[in-house]
Amino acid sequence: METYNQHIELIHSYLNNLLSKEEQLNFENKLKTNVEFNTLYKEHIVFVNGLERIKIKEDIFKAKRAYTTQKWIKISGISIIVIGALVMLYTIVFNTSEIEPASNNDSLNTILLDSVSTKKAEHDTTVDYSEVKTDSTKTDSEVEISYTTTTTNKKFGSISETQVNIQKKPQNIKIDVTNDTIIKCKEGTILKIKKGTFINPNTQQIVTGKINLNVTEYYKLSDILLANLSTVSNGKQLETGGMLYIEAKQNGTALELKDGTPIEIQFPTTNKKPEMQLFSGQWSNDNINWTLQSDVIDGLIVQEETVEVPFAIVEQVPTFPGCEAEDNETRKKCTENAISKFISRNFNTETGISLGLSGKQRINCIFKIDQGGNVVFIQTRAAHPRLSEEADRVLNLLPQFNPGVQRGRTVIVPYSLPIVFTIEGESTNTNTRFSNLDSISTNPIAVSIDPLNIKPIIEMDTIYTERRGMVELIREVMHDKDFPVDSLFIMEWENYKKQRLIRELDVMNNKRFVLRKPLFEMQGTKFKILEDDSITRGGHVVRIPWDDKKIPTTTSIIRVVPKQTFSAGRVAVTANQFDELLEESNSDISSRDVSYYVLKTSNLGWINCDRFINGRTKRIKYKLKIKNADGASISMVFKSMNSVLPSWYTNGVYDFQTVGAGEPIVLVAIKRKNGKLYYDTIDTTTKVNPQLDFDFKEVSIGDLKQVLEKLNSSL
Amino acid sequence: MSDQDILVLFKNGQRDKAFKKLYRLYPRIEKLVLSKGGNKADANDVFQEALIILNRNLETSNFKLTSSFYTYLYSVSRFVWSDIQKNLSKQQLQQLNAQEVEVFQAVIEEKKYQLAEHAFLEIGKRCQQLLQLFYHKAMSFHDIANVMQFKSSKIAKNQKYKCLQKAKDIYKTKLKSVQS
Repeated sequence: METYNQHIELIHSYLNNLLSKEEQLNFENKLKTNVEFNTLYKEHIVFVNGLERIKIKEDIFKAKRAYTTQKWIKISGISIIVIGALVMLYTIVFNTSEIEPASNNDSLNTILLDSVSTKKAEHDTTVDYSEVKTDSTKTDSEVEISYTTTTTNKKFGSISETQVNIQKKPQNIKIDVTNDTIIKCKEGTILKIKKGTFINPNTQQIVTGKINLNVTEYYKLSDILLANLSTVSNGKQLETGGMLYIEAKQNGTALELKDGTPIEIQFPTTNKKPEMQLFSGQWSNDNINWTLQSDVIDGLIVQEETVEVPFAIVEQVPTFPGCEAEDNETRKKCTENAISKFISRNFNTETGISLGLSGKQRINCIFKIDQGGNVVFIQTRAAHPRLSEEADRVLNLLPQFNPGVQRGRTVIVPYSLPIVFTIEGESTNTNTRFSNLDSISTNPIAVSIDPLNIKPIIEMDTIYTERRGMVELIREVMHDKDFPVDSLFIMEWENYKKQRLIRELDVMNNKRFVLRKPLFEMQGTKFKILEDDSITRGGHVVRIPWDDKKIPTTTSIIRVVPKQTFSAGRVAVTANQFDELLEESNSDISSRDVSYYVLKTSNLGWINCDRFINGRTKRIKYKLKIKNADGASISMVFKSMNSVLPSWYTNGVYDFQTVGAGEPIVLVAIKRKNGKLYYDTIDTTTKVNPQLDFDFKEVSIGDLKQVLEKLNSSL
Repeated sequence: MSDQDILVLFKNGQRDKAFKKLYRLYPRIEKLVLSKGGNKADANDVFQEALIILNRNLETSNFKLTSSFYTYLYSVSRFVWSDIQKNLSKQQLQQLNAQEVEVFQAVIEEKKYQLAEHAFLEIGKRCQQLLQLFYHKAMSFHDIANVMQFKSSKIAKNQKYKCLQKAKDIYKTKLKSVQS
C-alpha cells in the first residue's frame, strides 16, 4: 500500500508538472520498463478524466439552463408583442365592423311596424320601418326594440291657451346600452350609440341595461313649422340639414351623455352641402336658439375624410359652362379666363369711384365650388366694405359650374382670386385705367384679374376664444384700461419678475402686487405711485390690482382647424368601399345620391345639423306691421335654402331682425284664437319696409298639416 | 458571436459562457438525433457528450480546431449516437478518414472516462468532493483537512486513498461487466 501511495503521488506530480527534469525522465523511463506502473498510470489518467467529467457536466448543465432561460425570455417577449398586435388588430377589425352594417348580418334584426302617427294615416299603404342593429348575440325571440307612439304635452304656438296637440310624436325606441347599437329612424336618421354612452346625472354612473330613447325628426318644412322651430344661431341665419330632438330616459330619469363619448348622427340628405355642423338648441322666449357644438369639431376632423381639393391640384377642375374641353389643362385655363371675364363684365367699378377711392384697388376673394357646382362660401376682403359687397354680389352671379372631380368623386373645390383695378386721378375724375389691356369689356371701366395671384387654398376654420393674458394682467396692475402694452413691455415685465422687482402675493385669496422701489426710480419709468397704494418702510409699493371687470379682454386666441368634411353614400361605408361601388357601373350609388351628413353630438335634447349662411347679398332689417295678427306666430321660410327664421312680436310689430335682401320667401302665419286655428301664407321677396297683410283662414289641424305638407313639395 | 470569440472564452476559462453560446447549435444537433430515431433526452445526452469531448480536446495542447464548432460537434455527435446504437459496422470503420478516426477515438476514449465517472458517482458525495479538491483544485492535504473538517492532514490523506481505492474497485467491476 505504501508503494502504491507513493506511485500515485508520483503520477500526480508528473501530471501537474511538479517534477524536475531528471525526475521526469526517470518517470518516463519507468513507464516504459515497469508494466505494472504503466497500467497504474493509465488507470489513474482515466480516473482523473472521469472525475473531470463531473465538473464539466455541472458547467454544461448551468450553460444549458442559462440558454433555455434566455430562449424563454425571448419567446415570451415575442409572444407578448404578437398578442398585443393581435389584440390591436382585433379592436380595429371590431371597430370597423361596427361601421359596416353589412358585416353583421346575423344579428341584424329588421322589425317592421305600423306607424300610428296621424300624419301617416292618409297614406294607408305606407309602412314605416326601422332597422336596429345591435352587437348582442341575443336570439331573435328576445326582441328588445319596440316602437310606441306617445304624445307630448308641449303646446303649439307661443300665445295660445288651447290644448291642441299638433306636435310631432316622437319615436320611442327601447335599446340596451350594454351593447353598441345602430338605430335607423323613420325618416332616415341613423344614430350610432356606443356602449356606456349614457350616464345618470344624479349618480354620475354609466347606465347599463335597457333605456328609452325618444327621437323626433324634423326634416320636413311642415314638421319644422308646426314645432315652431327656426334656424337662427345668435342672430345669424342658418341653413338646416335636419333637426332632431333626442331624449334618453331610464325609469323616468333623464340621462345625459358621458363626456368624450358622443353619439354619431347621420342626417340623410339628397343635396349635400358643405360646412354642415352640429348645433344644440335652447328655447328662450318661445324661439329656439342654436349654438355650435364646438367641442366636437376636433373629433370630426379625425373622423371624416377630406373631400375638398384645391383648384390647382384637382384632377378634373370644375368648369365654367362652355369650357367642357377634353384636356384638363385647357379646361382650367378656359375656366380661369371665363371667371375673369365674367367679373370684368359685371363688376361695377363705379362703386369704388363713388366712394372717392383712387389708385390701385385690390379685393381678395375666396369661394368654393361645391359638389353640385354651386358657388358657395363666398368671402371677400377689400379696403372698403362697399367694395367687398360689390364683389360678393358679382360672385353670387356666377353661373352653376360643372363640379370638380377627384378619383371619380365630385369634390368641393376652393378657389381664390384677387380682383384688381385702378382708379386714376381725383375722386371727381371718373376715368379709370385698365390694369390689364387685353380685357374685352366694352365698359370703359374694366376690371382685370391678376392671374399670377390665383392660388387656391384649402379653407381653414378660424375659431376665436377669448382669453385674458399678460396684457390684461399688466393693465390691472397699472390701474389703466388703456395702458399701452407691447411685446417689449411684456418682456421687460417678465424680466422685472425674474429680478423679483415685481412679485405677486396671494393674501387670503386677495391678489396683491409688490412693486419694489427701483421700478419707480428708473429712467423713463412707466410705473407711477398711485393714490391708493400702500408703501412699505423700504419704499416698496403694495398694490391691489384692478378688478378684471374694469379691464376689457383684448386677447383672443385664434385656432385654425381644417374645415370638416363628410362621408357620403347610401350606407356608411369606408372610403375604399365607396370608391369600389362608384366603379361598378350598375351601382345605384352616386355622390349626388342620398348621402348623409355624419356628425357627432355630445349633447342630447335639441340637435340641429346646420351651416351658417355666408356670402349672401346685402342684409336688411325686416319688420312686419300686421293689424289683424292677434298674436299669431309668423315664420319666414326661405325658398332657396332650408332655413326658417322666427319673429319676435312686440306691440303689433313682427321683427325678423336682419335678413338677406331680395330673397324669395314664404311667410307662414299660424294663429290660434278661441280654440280655433287660422292660417295664411304669403309669397314675397325680402325688402325694406314690407307692406303686407294676412288673410287668415280657419283650418282644422288636419287641414293645417295638409297645407303645410304642400309647402314641403312646393319648396 | 463568432467561433473565434467562443475560443477566446474557452481560453479565458469562461467555460460555462462558452457552453451557453454553443447551446445555440443544439436545435440542429437535436434534429440530427431525432432524424436517426432518438428522442429528445437522447439528443440532450449526445450533445452533452459532444461538448465534453470538445472541451477535453481543447484542453490538450496539440489539438487544433480545423473546422467550425458546428461541423465538429456535428461529427462528434454523429459518432456518439452511432456508438450508443452500436450500429457502426467494421466496413464503415475502415472507410473513415484520418480526421474522422481521430474523432472516433476521442469518442471511444471518452467512454472509458464515462465509466470512471459513474464509479465516482457511486462512492458518495464526500469522497467525490475530497477527490475533486485534490485532483482538480490541486489543494494540499492541509487545506483539504481545513475545508472538509478533518482532524488532520494525515486523516485527509488516508481518506483520499480509501476513496480512490473504492472508486477503482467499482470501476474495475464495471469494466468487467462491460467487456463481458
